Amino acid sequence: MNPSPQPATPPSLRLHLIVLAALLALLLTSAGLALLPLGVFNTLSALGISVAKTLLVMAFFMRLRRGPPLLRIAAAVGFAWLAVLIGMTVADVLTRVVLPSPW
Amino acid sequence: MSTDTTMLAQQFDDAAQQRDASALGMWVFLATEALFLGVLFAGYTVCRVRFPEAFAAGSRHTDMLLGTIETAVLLTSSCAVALALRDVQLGGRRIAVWLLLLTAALGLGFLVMHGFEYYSEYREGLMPGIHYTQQGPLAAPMQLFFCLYYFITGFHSLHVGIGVILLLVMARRTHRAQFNAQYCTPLELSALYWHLVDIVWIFVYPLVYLVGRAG
Repeated sequence: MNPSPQPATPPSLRLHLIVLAALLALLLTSAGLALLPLGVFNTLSALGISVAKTLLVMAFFMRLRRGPPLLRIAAAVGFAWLAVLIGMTVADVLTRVVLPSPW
Repeated sequence: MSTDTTMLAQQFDDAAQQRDASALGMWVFLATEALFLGVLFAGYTVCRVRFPEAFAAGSRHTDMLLGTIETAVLLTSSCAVALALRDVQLGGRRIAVWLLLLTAALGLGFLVMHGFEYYSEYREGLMPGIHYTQQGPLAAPMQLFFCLYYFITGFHSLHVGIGVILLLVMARRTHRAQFNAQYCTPLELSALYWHLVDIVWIFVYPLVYLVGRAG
């Protein structure tokens, strides 16, 4: 019997630890930035850092960087639907006149 | 060695195809999970756009230090489970079992810390509908923040709990040498699930703990 084709060799221990260190550094950065008065950039930087952390986890821990294209598409589609969900909800809310509640 | 053939279900040509199908199924499931929690995040966005001050005030009531530690714990656990999978794929077993147990322990630690958080919020009167003693103009809209907070973190903790059980089962199966370099799909999929739990928390952290902290 043929040996079953292996998924690509797993990433090295070193790479895992580097990614973890980067994730923890990003965490501290986002905590630090939250304490500075940056106005709207507080929210933007916090969300930007979250996106960066997510990409690190997905690319390296979930191994999408070298994963089959089909899996990368499935992962991207999940986020695309999420963007549609939140984007269209917010678009609706932001373009309506708020009526005061009658009670 | 016939591990591959015995594990191969009828509808697949070979082990690689079976593995890819499982991974695709898991990713689709993860997408539905992201959308499930996404609804709560969408609700959060709408309410925060409508009541920004109340959300900032609500966020200041949460425990930022504990939240940061919890985030670090989950990030570390994600790395540990990734290393466990790596060890199994390289033919190891003993270290993988310990790494899986470490991951489950970190998950449990997360749940315990979160339990303490809920308890102190209960004592502070921050549970709408159960024990809510806040006063002032922001008290009413702040209930929205706390309702969303309990729903989002509650569902997340439920996922952490399921993940911990899953990881313990995987540790047991790894210990019994049911996985090897050729076959470790269940372990791989459980790791993916755990990473998703981690990713959800990556977004919960800034939205719950970091709002309105400056000044």
